Amino acid sequence: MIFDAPEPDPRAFVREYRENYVNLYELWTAIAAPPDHVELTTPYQTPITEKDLPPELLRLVREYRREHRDPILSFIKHIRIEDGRPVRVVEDQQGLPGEDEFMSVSRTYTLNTSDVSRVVTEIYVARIKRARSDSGG
Amino acid sequence: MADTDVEVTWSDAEQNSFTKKVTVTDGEARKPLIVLLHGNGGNANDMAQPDVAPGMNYDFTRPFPGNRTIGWRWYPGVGVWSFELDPDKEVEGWQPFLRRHGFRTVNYAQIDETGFLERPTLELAALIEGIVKEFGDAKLVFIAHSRGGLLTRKYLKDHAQDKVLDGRVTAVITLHSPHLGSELANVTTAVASSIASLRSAFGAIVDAALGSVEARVGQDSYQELRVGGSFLADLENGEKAFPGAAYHTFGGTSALLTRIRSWIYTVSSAIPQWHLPPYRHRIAMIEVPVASPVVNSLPDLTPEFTEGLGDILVADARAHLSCASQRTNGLNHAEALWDGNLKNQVLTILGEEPAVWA
Repeated sequence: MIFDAPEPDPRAFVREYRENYVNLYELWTAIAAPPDHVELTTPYQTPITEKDLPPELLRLVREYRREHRDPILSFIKHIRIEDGRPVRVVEDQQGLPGEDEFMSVSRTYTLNTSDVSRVVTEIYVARIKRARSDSGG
Repeated sequence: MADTDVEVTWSDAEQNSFTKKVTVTDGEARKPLIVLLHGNGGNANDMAQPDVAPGMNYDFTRPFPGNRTIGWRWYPGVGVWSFELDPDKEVEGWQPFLRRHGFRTVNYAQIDETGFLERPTLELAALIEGIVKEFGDAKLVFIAHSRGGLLTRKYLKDHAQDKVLDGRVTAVITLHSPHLGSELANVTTAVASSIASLRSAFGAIVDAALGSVEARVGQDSYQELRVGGSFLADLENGEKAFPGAAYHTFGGTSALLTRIRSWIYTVSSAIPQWHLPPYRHRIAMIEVPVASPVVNSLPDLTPEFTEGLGDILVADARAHLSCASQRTNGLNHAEALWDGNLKNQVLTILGEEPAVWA
C-alpha cells in the first residue's frame, strides 16, 4: 500500500472497544430472543482454550506471551460472524476485562466474485493476568 | 449613470458578419475605461467570476479536517476511502474589483477562444471602435490575462496608426501572458505522457486536477504560442510599444495548483469489536504521496512546470516585455485572475501613472 494510515493508539482503541461493547448474552437472554441462526452458549458450557484458536491467531498470542513475560490468558468470549450474521456466540453475563487486562484477537477472511460476497469474522476476548513485574507496556 | 450596452459589428476575412452586444459597466468618468481580456480557452467569467470558470480556485492552505466516523460495518475498512482535491475558496474577479474602485470596465467572451488570434483581433478592433464612439474621450487601459496579452499586442500593432486610438491608450497591463511563447506547446506529448503516468496510478482524480491543463496545451490557441513559432515571430517583427501607453507585465512562479487529498481508513477500522456490526469505520485525511501537490509532482519538463520558474502554463521569463515594467509574484496561472496582492499592485499602477488619469 502506498499510503500510510495514521499510527494507531492501542489504549484509545481499547477504550473505544469497551465503550462500544454490547453484551449479547444479556441481550438475548434477558431482553430479546436470539436470532434463529445464532448458537448461543456460555464459556462454562463451551470452554474456550488457546487450542481452539485458529493457527494464525495462536501465533499472535504466543508472540505476545513471549514479549510480555508469559502472562496467564483466560479466554472468556468468542463470536463468529458469517456474512453479516452472528452464527456462534460464547459469552455470559460478565462484561469485558478492565482496560489493562483486556485482549482481543480476531481474523476476517473473505471470498468475492461478481455474484458472491462472503465475509467471515471471528473474535476472541481474553482476560490477561500479568506477571507482577510486567507493567503492561 | 447605469451600465451601457455597446453593439459591436464586424466581419472576418471570409466576409462572415458578426454582431455582439457588450456591456460597459458604470464608473467614474475621470478614470480610464478598463478593457478586460481573458486568456486561452476562457470566457467572460475569467475576468468576472473566476470561481465559475476557469475555477481552479483551490484553497491549498486550508488545514485538513479531523478524523471522521463513517459508521459500523460488517467488513473491515482498509486502504483508501476516497480521493479529492482541495476545496474551493471564495475569490473576486477583476471586473467586480475594478468596479468597486470606480473604474468603468468592459469584459466579454472572445470569439475563437481555443482557436487562432486572427478573428479575436478583428473582434477587439470593432469593440474598441464601438466604445470610442460611445464614450467620447475616455482613456483606455488594457488588462489582459494570459493569451489576452498577445491579443492586446496584436491589436495595438495592427492599429498603431489608427486615429481611433490616438492618445487614448494609457496603459497595457498583462498578467501571466506568454509574450515569448510557452514551451509547453512544444512538448505536448511529454506533458500528456507525464499526466498519463499519474492517471494510471491514481485514476480520475488526476483528470480533475490536470485535465484542463492537458486539454489546454493541445488547443490551436496554445499551439499558436509555441516558442519559436511563426505567430510570435510575426508579432515581434516591427512591433513597437504603443505611443503614450505604459506597459506593465506580471509573471508568476508557482506551480502549485492543488493538493490531492485522500481519506484513508484508520487502522482501527480493520479491527472488529464486540459489537454488531463489528467494524467501526473511521477515516483520516492525508495528502497523497507522489501525486500531490499538482503540478509540482510532475517532472520539471519545462520552466512553465517548474516551481520558482513558471506558473504552470507560462514561464516567468517569457511573461515579460522589454518595454515594460516587470513584476513577478509567487502565483500560479489561475491565481492571476483573483489574487489580492496582484490586484493591489495593479491598482497602484492605475493610481500612480499620471498618464492613466484623464
